[in-house]
Amino acid sequence: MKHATVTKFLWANPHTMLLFDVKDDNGNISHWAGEAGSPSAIRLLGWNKKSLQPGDVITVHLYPSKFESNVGRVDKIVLADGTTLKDSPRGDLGVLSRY
Amino acid sequence: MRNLFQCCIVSLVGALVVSSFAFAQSQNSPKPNYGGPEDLYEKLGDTGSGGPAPRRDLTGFWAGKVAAKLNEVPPMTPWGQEQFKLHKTNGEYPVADSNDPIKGCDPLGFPRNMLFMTRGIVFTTMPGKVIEMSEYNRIWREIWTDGRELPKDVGGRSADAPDPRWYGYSVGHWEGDYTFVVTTVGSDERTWLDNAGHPHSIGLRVEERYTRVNHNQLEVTIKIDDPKAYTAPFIITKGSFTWIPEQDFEEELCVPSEQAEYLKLIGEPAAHSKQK
Repeated sequence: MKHATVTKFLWANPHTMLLFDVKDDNGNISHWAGEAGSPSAIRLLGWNKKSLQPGDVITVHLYPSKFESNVGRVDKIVLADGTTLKDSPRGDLGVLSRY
Repeated sequence: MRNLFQCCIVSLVGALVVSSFAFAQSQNSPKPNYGGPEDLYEKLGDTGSGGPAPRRDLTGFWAGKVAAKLNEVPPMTPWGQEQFKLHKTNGEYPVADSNDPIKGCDPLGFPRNMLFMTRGIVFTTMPGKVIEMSEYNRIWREIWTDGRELPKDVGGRSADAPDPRWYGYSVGHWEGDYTFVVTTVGSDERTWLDNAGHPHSIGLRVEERYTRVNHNQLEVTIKIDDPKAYTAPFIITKGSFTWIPEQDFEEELCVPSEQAEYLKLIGEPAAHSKQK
C-alpha cells in the first residue's frame, strides 16, 4: 500500500505494531494495523524505536488477514527516502498462518 | 485435525498480486530467507574458537537461536495426548483464540525457555551454585552444585511437599572439565514443553549437557524424560551458543500491557471479524 501515513508505531514485545491510514482514490480513509517482529529481532534488520514517526508517509507490504479486518503481518516497509525495512524471520511466534 | 490456513500478499497499489499458499504448522518448517539475521547468534556467525575452553567455566554472555530446532517427540501416553488436545497454539489458532500461556505473558517456564525465545543466556558462579540467566524476561535459574539432591515429591499432597516452580529445581555437576550436566525436576505443569503445545507433567525430568568446545562455542543437549506424558525419554534438541563479544544483550520482556494492546489492536480483529 503506497502513501500510507503512519499514525502510531509501538516498539513492543512480543510484536512491534504499526498503525497507519490509507486513502483511496475517492478520498476515503481506512485505518490499518500491522504487526512485525519483536524489537530484538527487527533491530538486527535496521529498525529502531524511532524508525517511524506519526505523519511519516511510507509504502507498506503486508500479509492481510483473511477476515474482514484491516490487520495483518508486515512483510516490509519502504520509507520516504527509499530505505527498506524488512520484517524478521518468523522465529518469534510471528506465524503467518493465523492470518 | 490441525487446520491449514491461507494468506495472501498485497503488493504495490495499481498492481495487486495475490497469491495463496497453505501453511502446516511446525516449529521446524523451513523459513523464507528474509535477507537478514534471525537472531544475534546468526548475526555473529563464525567467531572462531577464541582459544581453548577454560576448565570448568561457562561464565559469560552467550548468544543462542531464537528458536531451537526440535526433534519429533515420541508417541505420547493417553494422558499426554489428552493434554495435547487441550492446547490451542498460536500457530494453529488466531492468537486471540489461543490458550498458549505465553499469550498473556505467563512465564515460558523450563524447559521451554531453552527451546524458544532463548536468544541469550548468561552463566555466573556463586558459592555452591551456578546461576543461569535468560535474556527473555530476565529470569534466572539456580543450579545447585553443593551436592544436594533434587527435591522429591514436588507438587505432592503432603504439607511439606515442595511447590512446583515455573523454572523447576536444578542441580548440576561437572563431567570432566568441559561438560556441565544439569538435572531439573518440578517444572509447573501449566507450562508447555514447546510451541507445538506438547505437554509435560510434574514428573518431568530434564537433563541439559553443556559442553564448552572452546572459548567461543558452547553446545547443549537437552533430554526429556517424562513417563507420564511420553512413552520414551528423548533428546529434544542439540543446540549451540556463541560467546557475545560485547558481553551484553538486549532487554527483552513480555510486557502484559503491551501484549494487551496487541490483542486489542491486532489479535482480536484478526480473529473475530467476518471472513472475507
